[in-house]
Amino acid sequence: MNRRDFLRTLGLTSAGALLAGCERPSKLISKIVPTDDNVLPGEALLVRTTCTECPAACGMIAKVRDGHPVKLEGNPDHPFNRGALCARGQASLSRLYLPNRLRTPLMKAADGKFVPVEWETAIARINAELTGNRKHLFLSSRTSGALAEIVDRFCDKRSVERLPEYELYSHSATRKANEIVFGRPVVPAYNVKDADLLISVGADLVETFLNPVQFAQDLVANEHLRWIHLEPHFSLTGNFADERWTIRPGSEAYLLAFLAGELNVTAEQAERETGVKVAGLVAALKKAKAPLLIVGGVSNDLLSAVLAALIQAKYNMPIDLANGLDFRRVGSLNDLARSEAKLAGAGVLFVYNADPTAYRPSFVAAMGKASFRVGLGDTLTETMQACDIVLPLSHSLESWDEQETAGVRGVVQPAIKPLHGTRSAGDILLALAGETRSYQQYLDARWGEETKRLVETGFTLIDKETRPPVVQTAAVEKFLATAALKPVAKERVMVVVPSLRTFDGRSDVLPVLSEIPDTLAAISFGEFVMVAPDLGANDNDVVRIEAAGLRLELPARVQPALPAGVMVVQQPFLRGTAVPVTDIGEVQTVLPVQSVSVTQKKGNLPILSGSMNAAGRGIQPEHDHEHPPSPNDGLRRAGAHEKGHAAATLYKPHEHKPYRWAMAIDLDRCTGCAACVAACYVENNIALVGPDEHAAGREMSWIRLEPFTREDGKLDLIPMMCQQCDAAPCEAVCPVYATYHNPEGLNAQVYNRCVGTRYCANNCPYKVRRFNWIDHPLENPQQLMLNPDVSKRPKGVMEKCTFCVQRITTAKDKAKDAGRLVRDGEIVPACAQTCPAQAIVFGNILDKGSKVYAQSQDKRAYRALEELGTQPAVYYLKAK
Amino acid sequence: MMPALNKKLLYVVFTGWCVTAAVVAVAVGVHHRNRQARLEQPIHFSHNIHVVKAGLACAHCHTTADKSPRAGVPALSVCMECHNKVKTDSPEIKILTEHWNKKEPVEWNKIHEVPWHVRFTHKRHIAAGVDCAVCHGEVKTMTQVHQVRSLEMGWCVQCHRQNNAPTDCWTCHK
Repeated sequence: MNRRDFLRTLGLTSAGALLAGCERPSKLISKIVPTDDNVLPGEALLVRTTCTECPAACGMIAKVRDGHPVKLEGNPDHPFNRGALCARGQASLSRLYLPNRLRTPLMKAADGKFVPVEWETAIARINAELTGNRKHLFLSSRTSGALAEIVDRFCDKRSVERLPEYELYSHSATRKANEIVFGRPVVPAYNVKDADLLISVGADLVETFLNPVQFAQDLVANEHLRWIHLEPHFSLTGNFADERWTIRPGSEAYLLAFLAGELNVTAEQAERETGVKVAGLVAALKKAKAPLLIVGGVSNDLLSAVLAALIQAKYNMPIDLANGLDFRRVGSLNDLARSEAKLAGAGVLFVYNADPTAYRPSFVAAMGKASFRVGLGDTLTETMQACDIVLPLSHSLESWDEQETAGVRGVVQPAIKPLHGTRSAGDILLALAGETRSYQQYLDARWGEETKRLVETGFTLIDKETRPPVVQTAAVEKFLATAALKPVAKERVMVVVPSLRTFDGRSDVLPVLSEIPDTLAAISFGEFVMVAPDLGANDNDVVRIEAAGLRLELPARVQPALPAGVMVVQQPFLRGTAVPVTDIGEVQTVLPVQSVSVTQKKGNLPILSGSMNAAGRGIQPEHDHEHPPSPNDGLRRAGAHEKGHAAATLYKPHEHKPYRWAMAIDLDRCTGCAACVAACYVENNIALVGPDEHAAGREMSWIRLEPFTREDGKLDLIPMMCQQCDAAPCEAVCPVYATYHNPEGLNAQVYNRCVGTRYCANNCPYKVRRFNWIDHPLENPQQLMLNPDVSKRPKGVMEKCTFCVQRITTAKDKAKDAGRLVRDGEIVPACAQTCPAQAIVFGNILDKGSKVYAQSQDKRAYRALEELGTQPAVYYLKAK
Repeated sequence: MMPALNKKLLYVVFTGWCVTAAVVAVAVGVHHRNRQARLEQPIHFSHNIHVVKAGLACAHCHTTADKSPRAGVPALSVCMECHNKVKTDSPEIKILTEHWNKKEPVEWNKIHEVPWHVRFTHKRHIAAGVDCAVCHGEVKTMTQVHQVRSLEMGWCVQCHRQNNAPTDCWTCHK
C-alpha cells in the first residue's frame, strides 16, 4: 500500500483502539420488589445443600453473592462433616462454572459430529426410539433416595431394564462379605469415636475411604485411641496413623485368618507370610476394651473382607450395618462386564452420570452394538462422545434433589438458576416417563411436612435402628470350606490407589485440583509413579513398567517410606486402559510387576517440595521421644525470654491495639489432606497458572503443605503460609511501601501500589510470597466464581496470605455495629474453616482467653525459623 | 540540505501531527460523549422534585445505605407505591410503569464509582455521622445526578485524617 493509505489506516486503527478502551458506564440494576431473604447487598445468602462430588454426601452451605455462589463451606450442623469440607468439596464449586460444560442438548448428525438441538427435538427423538421390542437398558452411577425412585419409575414405564449401577470403587468385597457373614449386603458405618484401639488394614481413612472428613474429625477427637494402620505401600493415612506397620502386599488374608482363628493359620505362618509382628496385634486386641477393625481400600479381596467381618463379630465391634453409605444398587466391575455383553442387540442405551469407558475401553465398542445411545452428563467424556444424543445436566447447585445415605436425608437445593440450557436428571426422567410434574414438585410431595425443615437446615436424620449383627454360621462355613489363601507375591508389585485430589478420576475436570500438589509426592500436574529407593531411580527418571497386562511409562518420584519392591500409581493415571479386575469384581489393587526398568528419558514433573530434607533448620523440631522438650532445644514458648539471647533490634516494638491476629496450627492433627489449600484458592481468587508455570516453580498457592522426610521415612507435613511477622524482612525492602505492618499485626500487601520489584519475595525466609508473572485471564463463566470481597491481582503484582483479611474486616464491622470488640471464634479464615481435623486456630493473641493464646502457650508450641528474629505470628504445635 | 528531503520530512511530520491530533480529538470527543452518556439515565429521575418538592428523605428510597456496604437504588415497587396514582400521564412515569408491568429491572447508570481494588462501605460512614451531601453534594437540588467530589484516594484520606478514621491501607484496599 502507499504511504497515504498506510497513514490513514494507522489513524483509524488508533482511533478505534482508543474508542475500545473507553469504558462504558457500569450499571446499578434495580430490583422489581425488595427481596424477602433478609440478605443485604454485599452480604451472602446462605443456601444449605449437599455436596455431590463423591458418594460421601457431606452437608454444605453455598455462599451466594449477587445471585451466584462464590464459596462452599461445610454445614456446621451436619452429622457427617460438621462444618468441614475436603479439597474436592471445596473445588466442586468450579464444576458449576466449567467453561466446557455441556450447555444444550446435542444430537449426532449423519457425519458423526454433534449439533445443538432443542430439548423438545431431543426428547421427541428419544421417545421415538423407545418403541419397538428390543431391550432398552439404563446404566447410571450411584443413585439414592428420590432419584433412584424416579429412575425406577422411568424404567418401569418405558420398559427399560435397569442395569446395576457403576462405581469404580463399589465396595463389592465388603458388601459380599457382610452378606455372607451377617446376611446383609451393605457398606457398614464405623464408629471410630469411641474406640480405644483401631486396626485399619489398607483403608485410606483420611483420604478417600467412605467419608474421609468424618474419619479425620472423629480420629482427632478421640484422645484415647491407639491407631495401628497396616498397609502394603505408603499412604497419607499411614503417615497420619499413630503406628504404621508394613504388611506384605496381598497377604492380608493370612493375618486376618490368624486373628479370626480360621483356616488353621498359625501365628508363625501369619508372621512369615505378612512380615507383621502378629504378637503385638494380639496383645493389643487383648488389652483393648473397645477395639475396631476396618479393612478396605487397597485390601479389597473377598476372603479378607469375610475374615474381617468375623473378627468384628468376635470382638463385638461397633459395626453399624443399617447406617452405612447406600450402595445397594451398585454393581461390581463384573456386573459392568455383564452389562456390556447385554449391549449386543439392545435397543436404547441410557448412560446417566457415568463414564465406564474411562477404565474399560471396550465399553465404547459395545455401545456401538446398541441401536441408539442417550447420554446424560455435564461434560463430553469419552462415553458421552459415543452417544447419539447427549442431554446436558444441571449441576447440583442448580437443581433440586436429595441424597439419602448413611442415616441422613440431605437436601440438594439450588443456589443459582441454571447458567445454561441444562435440566436436572429428575426432570428429564419424569418427562420421559410421561409425567407432567417437575422433580421439585415430586420432592415436595415426597418430603411432605419435612420440607420446611429440610430447606432450612439442609438435612434430616433417618437413622435406622441398629440391631447387633448376627453371624450366619452356615453361610460362613460354606464359604470358608472352599476358601483358599493365595500365595503371596514375592516379586515387585505395583499398588493402584485412589487419588487424594480426584478420587477415582471423576474430579480431574476441576482445574483447581490439578494446581494443588498431591501431598505425599508434592507433584501437581502430571502423572507419575511413586517408587521405593531400591529401584535405583532418581526423581523424574522415566520408568517403564509391565504389570498385569498394562504397559506404562511414567516418570518416577522416589518415596523413602515405600517398602522395597513396591511402586504406587494413582488410579486416574490409568485412565484409558482396561483396569485389571479381581474375581469378585473389584479393582485389582496389587498388580504383580513382570518387568520394570529405569530408562534414560526424563520426565518434566513439577516437584514443588524443594528439598525434602529439613537439614536441622528448625522448620519442624526433631522428633525425640526419649528426651522431652526443654527450654534449650529450640522449642520456645511465646513470651519466654532466652537468657542472653534477647534479640537486639533497631526498631521500636510494634504497638497492637486492640487486636494482634495470630494463628496456631497443631501439626499433630494435620492429616495433609490439602483441604485448606483448596479453600484458600476459592476464597481468595487465586490464579490457576497451568503446568508450564508450575514447572518453573511459579505456583500461586498462598498456603502449601511442605513435606520433609524424617529418619523413619515418614513425612513431616507443615502447612506454610505468610507468617505475618512482627519483624518482617519483606517490609523493610519494598521501595514503594506496598507492604507494611498494619496496626493489627498483619503484614499488609497493597496490590495497587506494588510495582513488582520482587525484592520482598527475595527477602522472605519462608518463601510464601507469590508473584503474578503473567496475566491469568478467566474463561467465561469462571469470572462468576470470583469472591467480590477480594480483588483479582493483575500481572506484575505480589500477593500472599492475608489471614483472610476480608473475613476479619467483616467481623470487625459486625462487632462495631454491636458496639463491642470481636470475640474469639468469630473470625475463621478459609483454611481453618474447612480443615476436617480442626488443626488451624485463629484469633487475637492479645486476648488471654482466646484459643490461639492458649495454644501458643502449649509446651509443644514453637515458631518456624524463629532464630532469624522474624517474630512470626504463626505458632506450630509440634507433632507428638 | 537537499530541498527534496526537507519537503518530504515536513510532509511526513505534518501528516503525523494531523493524524495524532485527529486521533486525540476523536478520543476526547468520545470520552465526553461517554461522560454525557453516563449522566443520561433511562428514566429522567429528578431528585429535586422528589426531595425538595415532595419531601422524601434519602433513606426512604436508599433504604440499605445505613445497613449495608452498598446504598443501592430502590426496587421498582417503592416507586410504584406513589406512581401507580401520581402523575401517571408523565412520559417518564409511563416508562417506569412499563418496566413495572413487564417486570423488567431499570438499569441506572452508576454515577459514583470506586475502582475495583477499593472496598467502600456506606454503612460505616453513615454510622460515623457523615451526611450524604458531604460526598454526593446537594443531590436534593439536582435534576440529574452528577458527581461533584473527586472520589480520589487523596480526598478520602484527607477526611479520614481530619476525623480520626482509620488510615490503614487494608481498611479500603481489598
